[in-house]
Amino acid sequence: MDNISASIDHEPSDEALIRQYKDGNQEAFSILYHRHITNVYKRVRYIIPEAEVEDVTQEVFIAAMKSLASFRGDSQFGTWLRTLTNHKVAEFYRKRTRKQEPQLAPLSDAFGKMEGSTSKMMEERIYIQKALSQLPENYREVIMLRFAEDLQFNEIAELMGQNIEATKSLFRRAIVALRGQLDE
Amino acid sequence: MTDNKKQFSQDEELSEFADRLLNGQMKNTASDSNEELRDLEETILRLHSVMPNTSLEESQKKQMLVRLNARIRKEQTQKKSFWASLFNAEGMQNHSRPQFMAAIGILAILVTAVIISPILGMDGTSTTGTALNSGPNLFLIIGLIAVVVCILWFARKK
Repeated sequence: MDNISASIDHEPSDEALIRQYKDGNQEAFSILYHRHITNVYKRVRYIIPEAEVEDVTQEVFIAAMKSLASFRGDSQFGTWLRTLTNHKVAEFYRKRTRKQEPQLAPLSDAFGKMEGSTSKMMEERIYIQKALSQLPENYREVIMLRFAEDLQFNEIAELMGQNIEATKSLFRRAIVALRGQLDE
Repeated sequence: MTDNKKQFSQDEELSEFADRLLNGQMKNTASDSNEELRDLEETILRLHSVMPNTSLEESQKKQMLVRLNARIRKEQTQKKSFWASLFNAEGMQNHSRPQFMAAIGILAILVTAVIISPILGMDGTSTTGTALNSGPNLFLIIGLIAVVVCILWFARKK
Protein backbone atom coordinates (compact mmCIF):
# COMPACT_ATOMS: atom_id res chain seq x y z
CA MET A 1 0.00 0.00 0.00
CA ASP A 2 2.96 2.32 0.65
CA ASN A 3 3.91 1.81 -2.96
CA ILE A 4 0.48 3.06 -3.95
CA SER A 5 0.88 6.23 -1.87
CA ALA A 6 4.29 6.81 -3.38
CA SER A 7 2.88 6.37 -6.87
CA ILE A 8 0.11 8.83 -6.15
CA ASP A 9 2.69 11.42 -5.10
CA HIS A 10 4.27 11.19 -8.56
CA GLU A 11 0.83 11.91 -10.04
CA PRO A 12 0.79 10.03 -13.35
CA SER A 13 -2.26 11.14 -15.32
CA ASP A 14 -5.40 9.01 -15.41
CA GLU A 15 -4.80 8.40 -19.10
CA ALA A 16 -1.26 7.16 -18.44
CA LEU A 17 -2.57 4.82 -15.72
CA ILE A 18 -5.26 3.47 -18.03
CA ARG A 19 -2.62 2.74 -20.68
CA GLN A 20 -0.51 0.95 -18.06
CA TYR A 21 -3.52 -1.07 -16.93
CA LYS A 22 -4.31 -2.04 -20.52
CA ASP A 23 -0.68 -3.19 -20.81
CA GLY A 24 -1.25 -5.53 -17.87
CA ASN A 25 -0.15 -3.43 -14.88
CA GLN A 26 -2.77 -4.26 -12.22
CA GLU A 27 -1.21 -1.76 -9.80
CA ALA A 28 -2.28 1.06 -12.11
CA PHE A 29 -5.91 0.24 -11.37
CA SER A 30 -5.23 0.44 -7.61
CA ILE A 31 -3.85 3.94 -8.09
CA LEU A 32 -6.89 4.95 -10.14
CA TYR A 33 -9.06 3.48 -7.38
CA HIS A 34 -7.32 5.51 -4.67
CA ARG A 35 -7.60 8.65 -6.74
CA HIS A 36 -11.33 8.36 -7.44
CA ILE A 37 -12.81 6.31 -4.58
CA THR A 38 -13.66 9.37 -2.47
CA ASN A 39 -15.81 11.00 -5.13
CA VAL A 40 -17.50 7.76 -6.14
CA TYR A 41 -18.20 6.88 -2.52
CA LYS A 42 -19.55 10.34 -1.65
CA ARG A 43 -21.80 10.30 -4.70
CA VAL A 44 -23.14 6.81 -3.99
CA ARG A 45 -23.55 7.53 -0.29
CA TYR A 46 -25.55 10.63 -1.04
CA ILE A 47 -28.28 8.73 -2.83
CA ILE A 48 -28.10 5.04 -1.83
CA PRO A 49 -29.17 3.64 1.55
CA GLU A 50 -26.20 3.35 3.89
CA ALA A 51 -26.27 -0.45 4.08
CA GLU A 52 -25.81 -0.75 0.30
CA VAL A 53 -23.22 1.98 -0.27
CA GLU A 54 -20.08 -0.16 -0.25
CA ASP A 55 -21.69 -2.81 -2.42
CA VAL A 56 -22.74 -0.31 -5.09
CA THR A 57 -19.34 1.41 -4.89
CA GLN A 58 -17.65 -1.95 -5.50
CA GLU A 59 -19.91 -2.56 -8.47
CA VAL A 60 -18.87 0.77 -9.96
CA PHE A 61 -15.18 -0.17 -9.79
CA ILE A 62 -15.75 -3.72 -11.02
CA ALA A 63 -17.69 -2.34 -14.01
CA ALA A 64 -14.91 0.21 -14.57
CA MET A 65 -12.29 -2.52 -14.50
CA LYS A 66 -14.24 -4.62 -17.02
CA SER A 67 -14.87 -1.67 -19.32
CA LEU A 68 -11.44 -0.01 -19.19
CA ALA A 69 -10.28 -2.04 -22.18
CA SER A 70 -12.90 -0.27 -24.28
CA PHE A 71 -12.32 3.18 -22.74
CA ARG A 72 -11.28 5.36 -25.65
CA GLY A 73 -10.60 8.57 -23.77
CA ASP A 74 -13.32 10.58 -25.52
CA SER A 75 -14.06 12.13 -22.12
CA GLN A 76 -12.01 12.48 -18.96
CA PHE A 77 -11.81 9.36 -16.83
CA GLY A 78 -13.44 11.18 -13.90
CA THR A 79 -16.42 12.16 -16.07
CA TRP A 80 -16.67 8.63 -17.45
CA LEU A 81 -16.57 7.19 -13.92
CA ARG A 82 -19.25 9.66 -12.78
CA THR A 83 -21.53 8.47 -15.62
CA LEU A 84 -20.80 4.86 -14.70
CA THR A 85 -21.68 5.62 -11.07
CA ASN A 86 -24.98 7.17 -12.14
CA HIS A 87 -25.76 4.04 -14.19
CA LYS A 88 -25.04 1.78 -11.22
CA VAL A 89 -27.22 3.92 -8.94
CA ALA A 90 -30.04 3.79 -11.51
CA GLU A 91 -29.54 0.04 -11.84
CA PHE A 92 -29.76 -0.33 -8.06
CA TYR A 93 -33.16 1.39 -7.95
CA ARG A 94 -34.34 -0.43 -11.09
CA LYS A 95 -33.51 -3.82 -9.57
CA ARG A 96 -35.31 -2.90 -6.37
CA THR A 97 -38.40 -1.82 -8.26
CA ARG A 98 -38.33 -5.00 -10.34
CA LYS A 99 -38.07 -7.17 -7.25
CA GLN A 100 -40.93 -5.16 -5.75
CA GLU A 101 -38.96 -4.68 -2.62
CA PRO A 102 -39.45 -1.61 -0.51
CA GLN A 103 -37.99 1.42 -2.30
CA LEU A 104 -35.40 1.85 0.41
CA ALA A 105 -33.40 -0.36 2.74
CA PRO A 106 -34.92 -1.22 6.08
CA LEU A 107 -34.28 1.59 8.49
CA SER A 108 -32.67 -0.78 10.96
CA ASP A 109 -30.01 -1.76 8.37
CA ALA A 110 -29.00 1.80 7.79
CA PHE A 111 -29.31 2.82 11.41
CA GLY A 112 -26.99 0.06 12.55
CA LYS A 113 -24.12 1.50 10.53
CA MET A 114 -24.52 5.15 11.43
CA GLU A 115 -22.84 6.19 14.59
CA GLY A 116 -24.00 9.47 16.05
CA SER A 117 -27.15 9.64 13.93
CA THR A 118 -30.57 9.70 15.49
CA SER A 119 -33.32 7.58 14.03
CA LYS A 120 -35.23 10.74 13.14
CA MET A 121 -32.23 12.01 11.22
CA MET A 122 -31.94 8.68 9.43
CA GLU A 123 -35.61 8.76 8.48
CA GLU A 124 -35.14 12.28 7.16
CA ARG A 125 -32.07 11.19 5.19
CA ILE A 126 -33.91 8.28 3.61
CA TYR A 127 -36.81 10.58 2.77
CA ILE A 128 -34.48 13.09 1.08
CA GLN A 129 -32.60 10.32 -0.77
CA LYS A 130 -35.90 9.09 -2.16
CA ALA A 131 -36.80 12.63 -3.24
CA LEU A 132 -33.39 13.09 -4.88
CA SER A 133 -33.68 9.81 -6.75
CA GLN A 134 -36.96 11.01 -8.26
CA LEU A 135 -35.58 14.29 -9.61
CA PRO A 136 -34.76 14.73 -13.31
CA GLU A 137 -31.15 13.74 -13.94
CA ASN A 138 -29.77 17.25 -14.61
CA TYR A 139 -31.34 18.58 -11.40
CA ARG A 140 -29.99 15.70 -9.33
CA GLU A 141 -26.59 16.09 -10.98
CA VAL A 142 -26.15 19.76 -10.10
CA ILE A 143 -27.14 19.09 -6.46
CA MET A 144 -24.78 16.12 -6.23
CA LEU A 145 -21.88 18.02 -7.75
CA ARG A 146 -22.31 20.93 -5.32
CA PHE A 147 -23.18 19.06 -2.13
CA ALA A 148 -21.82 15.51 -2.47
CA GLU A 149 -18.65 16.32 -4.41
CA ASP A 150 -18.27 19.86 -3.04
CA LEU A 151 -17.44 21.37 -6.44
CA GLN A 152 -17.67 25.16 -6.85
CA PHE A 153 -20.25 26.56 -9.27
CA ASN A 154 -17.56 27.56 -11.78
CA GLU A 155 -16.23 23.98 -11.75
CA ILE A 156 -19.73 22.59 -12.19
CA ALA A 157 -20.32 25.00 -15.09
CA GLU A 158 -17.14 23.80 -16.76
CA LEU A 159 -18.07 20.14 -16.27
CA MET A 160 -21.56 20.66 -17.63
CA GLY A 161 -20.38 22.83 -20.52
CA GLN A 162 -22.52 25.76 -19.46
CA ASN A 163 -21.84 29.31 -18.33
CA ILE A 164 -21.97 30.00 -14.61
CA GLU A 165 -25.28 31.92 -14.78
CA ALA A 166 -26.99 28.94 -16.45
CA THR A 167 -25.51 26.63 -13.81
CA LYS A 168 -26.78 28.77 -10.93
CA SER A 169 -30.18 28.96 -12.58
CA LEU A 170 -30.21 25.17 -12.95
CA PHE A 171 -29.25 24.87 -9.28
CA ARG A 172 -32.16 27.10 -8.18
CA ARG A 173 -34.61 25.13 -10.34
CA ALA A 174 -33.22 21.89 -8.92
CA ILE A 175 -33.84 23.12 -5.37
CA VAL A 176 -37.37 24.21 -6.34
CA ALA A 177 -37.99 20.69 -7.73
CA LEU A 178 -36.52 19.08 -4.63
CA ARG A 179 -38.74 21.18 -2.39
CA GLY A 180 -41.70 20.07 -4.51
CA GLN A 181 -40.74 16.41 -4.06
CA LEU A 182 -40.28 16.83 -0.33
CA ASP A 183 -43.67 18.55 0.00
CA GLU A 184 -45.50 15.74 -1.81
CA MET B 1 -38.01 44.35 -11.22
CA THR B 2 -38.74 42.20 -14.30
CA ASP B 3 -39.22 38.45 -13.93
CA ASN B 4 -35.87 37.73 -15.60
CA LYS B 5 -34.01 40.08 -13.31
CA LYS B 6 -35.82 38.70 -10.29
CA GLN B 7 -34.91 35.14 -11.23
CA PHE B 8 -31.31 36.08 -11.96
CA SER B 9 -31.12 37.75 -8.56
CA GLN B 10 -32.60 34.68 -6.86
CA ASP B 11 -30.15 32.39 -8.72
CA GLU B 12 -27.27 34.46 -7.39
CA GLU B 13 -28.59 34.74 -3.84
CA LEU B 14 -29.38 31.05 -3.55
CA SER B 15 -26.03 29.88 -4.89
CA GLU B 16 -24.26 32.36 -2.61
CA PHE B 17 -26.26 31.01 0.30
CA ALA B 18 -25.21 27.44 -0.59
CA ASP B 19 -21.56 28.53 -0.86
CA ARG B 20 -21.61 30.21 2.55
CA LEU B 21 -23.40 27.25 4.14
CA LEU B 22 -20.87 24.77 2.76
CA ASN B 23 -18.03 27.02 3.93
CA GLY B 24 -19.51 26.97 7.44
CA GLN B 25 -20.33 30.69 7.39
CA MET B 26 -24.10 30.28 7.53
CA LYS B 27 -26.38 28.28 9.78
CA ASN B 28 -29.80 29.86 9.27
CA THR B 29 -31.86 31.19 6.39
CA ALA B 30 -30.66 34.56 5.12
CA SER B 31 -33.68 35.97 3.30
CA ASP B 32 -36.17 37.37 5.78
CA SER B 33 -37.98 39.54 3.27
CA ASN B 34 -38.41 37.09 0.39
CA GLU B 35 -40.63 34.17 1.35
CA GLU B 36 -39.96 32.15 -1.81
CA LEU B 37 -36.22 32.43 -1.41
CA ARG B 38 -36.46 31.64 2.29
CA ASP B 39 -38.33 28.40 1.48
CA LEU B 40 -35.56 27.38 -0.91
CA GLU B 41 -32.89 28.21 1.64
CA GLU B 42 -34.72 26.05 4.18
CA THR B 43 -34.68 23.18 1.70
CA ILE B 44 -30.92 23.60 1.30
CA LEU B 45 -30.47 23.73 5.08
CA ARG B 46 -32.54 20.58 5.43
CA LEU B 47 -30.50 18.82 2.77
CA HIS B 48 -27.20 19.91 4.29
CA SER B 49 -28.12 19.04 7.86
CA VAL B 50 -29.01 15.40 7.29
CA MET B 51 -27.05 14.28 4.28
CA PRO B 52 -23.62 12.68 4.80
CA ASN B 53 -20.66 14.95 4.12
CA THR B 54 -17.79 13.21 5.87
CA SER B 55 -14.92 12.02 3.74
CA LEU B 56 -13.38 8.56 3.63
CA GLU B 57 -10.35 7.98 5.80
CA GLU B 58 -7.26 6.38 4.31
CA SER B 59 -7.73 3.22 6.39
CA GLN B 60 -11.33 2.87 5.13
CA LYS B 61 -10.17 3.23 1.53
CA LYS B 62 -7.59 0.48 2.03
CA GLN B 63 -10.10 -1.84 3.70
CA MET B 64 -12.55 -1.26 0.88
CA LEU B 65 -9.85 -2.00 -1.70
CA VAL B 66 -9.04 -5.29 0.05
CA ARG B 67 -12.74 -6.26 0.00
CA LEU B 68 -13.04 -5.15 -3.64
CA ASN B 69 -10.06 -7.30 -4.65
CA ALA B 70 -11.52 -10.26 -2.75
CA ARG B 71 -14.83 -9.85 -4.58
CA ILE B 72 -13.08 -9.59 -7.95
CA ARG B 73 -11.08 -12.77 -7.23
CA LYS B 74 -14.27 -14.55 -6.15
CA GLU B 75 -16.10 -13.47 -9.33
CA GLN B 76 -13.19 -14.57 -11.49
CA THR B 77 -13.13 -18.03 -9.94
CA GLN B 78 -16.86 -18.55 -10.35
CA LYS B 79 -17.28 -19.95 -13.84
CA LYS B 80 -20.29 -18.51 -15.60
CA SER B 81 -22.69 -20.79 -17.44
CA PHE B 82 -23.02 -20.37 -21.19
CA TRP B 83 -26.53 -18.90 -20.91
CA ALA B 84 -25.55 -16.55 -18.10
CA SER B 85 -22.63 -15.18 -20.08
CA LEU B 86 -24.84 -14.85 -23.17
CA PHE B 87 -27.71 -13.00 -21.53
CA ASN B 88 -26.07 -11.30 -18.57
CA ALA B 89 -26.11 -7.49 -18.90
CA GLU B 90 -22.55 -7.10 -17.58
CA GLY B 91 -21.25 -9.34 -20.30
CA MET B 92 -23.18 -7.44 -22.92
CA GLN B 93 -21.39 -4.15 -22.44
CA ASN B 94 -19.50 -4.41 -25.69
CA HIS B 95 -22.46 -5.67 -27.65
CA SER B 96 -25.10 -3.67 -29.39
CA ARG B 97 -27.71 -5.30 -27.18
CA PRO B 98 -31.08 -4.94 -29.03
CA GLN B 99 -29.59 -5.96 -32.37
CA PHE B 100 -27.68 -8.82 -30.77
CA MET B 101 -30.80 -10.16 -29.07
CA ALA B 102 -32.84 -9.74 -32.27
CA ALA B 103 -30.20 -11.67 -34.23
CA ILE B 104 -30.29 -14.49 -31.68
CA GLY B 105 -34.09 -14.58 -31.95
CA ILE B 106 -33.97 -14.77 -35.76
CA LEU B 107 -31.32 -17.49 -35.54
CA ALA B 108 -33.56 -19.52 -33.24
CA ILE B 109 -36.50 -19.18 -35.67
CA LEU B 110 -34.37 -20.20 -38.66
CA VAL B 111 -32.90 -23.20 -36.86
CA THR B 112 -36.43 -24.29 -35.92
CA ALA B 113 -37.54 -23.83 -39.55
CA VAL B 114 -34.64 -25.96 -40.86
CA ILE B 115 -35.43 -28.70 -38.36
CA ILE B 116 -39.17 -28.83 -39.01
CA SER B 117 -39.17 -28.16 -42.78
CA PRO B 118 -38.93 -31.90 -43.71
CA ILE B 119 -41.84 -32.62 -41.37
CA LEU B 120 -43.95 -29.94 -43.06
CA GLY B 121 -43.11 -31.28 -46.51
CA MET B 122 -41.02 -28.31 -47.49
CA ASP B 123 -38.22 -30.48 -48.82
CA GLY B 124 -39.85 -30.84 -52.22
CA THR B 125 -40.35 -34.63 -52.20
CA SER B 126 -42.67 -34.43 -55.21
CA THR B 127 -39.89 -32.97 -57.33
CA THR B 128 -37.02 -35.17 -56.21
CA GLY B 129 -34.03 -34.86 -58.45
CA THR B 130 -34.85 -31.41 -59.75
CA ALA B 131 -32.93 -28.26 -58.95
CA LEU B 132 -35.94 -26.85 -57.16
CA ASN B 133 -36.15 -29.53 -54.49
CA SER B 134 -33.55 -27.90 -52.30
CA GLY B 135 -35.02 -24.41 -52.78
CA PRO B 136 -36.60 -23.66 -49.39
CA ASN B 137 -33.79 -25.29 -47.42
CA LEU B 138 -31.18 -23.47 -49.45
CA PHE B 139 -32.79 -20.14 -48.61
CA LEU B 140 -32.99 -21.14 -44.96
CA ILE B 141 -29.34 -22.14 -44.89
CA ILE B 142 -28.30 -18.89 -46.57
CA GLY B 143 -30.42 -16.99 -44.05
CA LEU B 144 -28.86 -18.98 -41.24
CA ILE B 145 -25.35 -18.12 -42.39
CA ALA B 146 -26.33 -14.43 -42.74
CA VAL B 147 -27.67 -14.35 -39.18
CA VAL B 148 -24.58 -16.07 -37.78
CA VAL B 149 -22.44 -13.45 -39.55
CA CYS B 150 -24.64 -10.71 -38.04
CA ILE B 151 -24.25 -12.18 -34.55
CA LEU B 152 -20.48 -12.36 -34.93
CA TRP B 153 -20.50 -8.77 -36.18
CA PHE B 154 -22.54 -7.46 -33.23
CA ALA B 155 -20.58 -9.54 -30.75
CA ARG B 156 -17.18 -8.35 -31.92
CA LYS B 157 -15.04 -6.31 -29.52
CA LYS B 158 -15.22 -2.63 -30.40
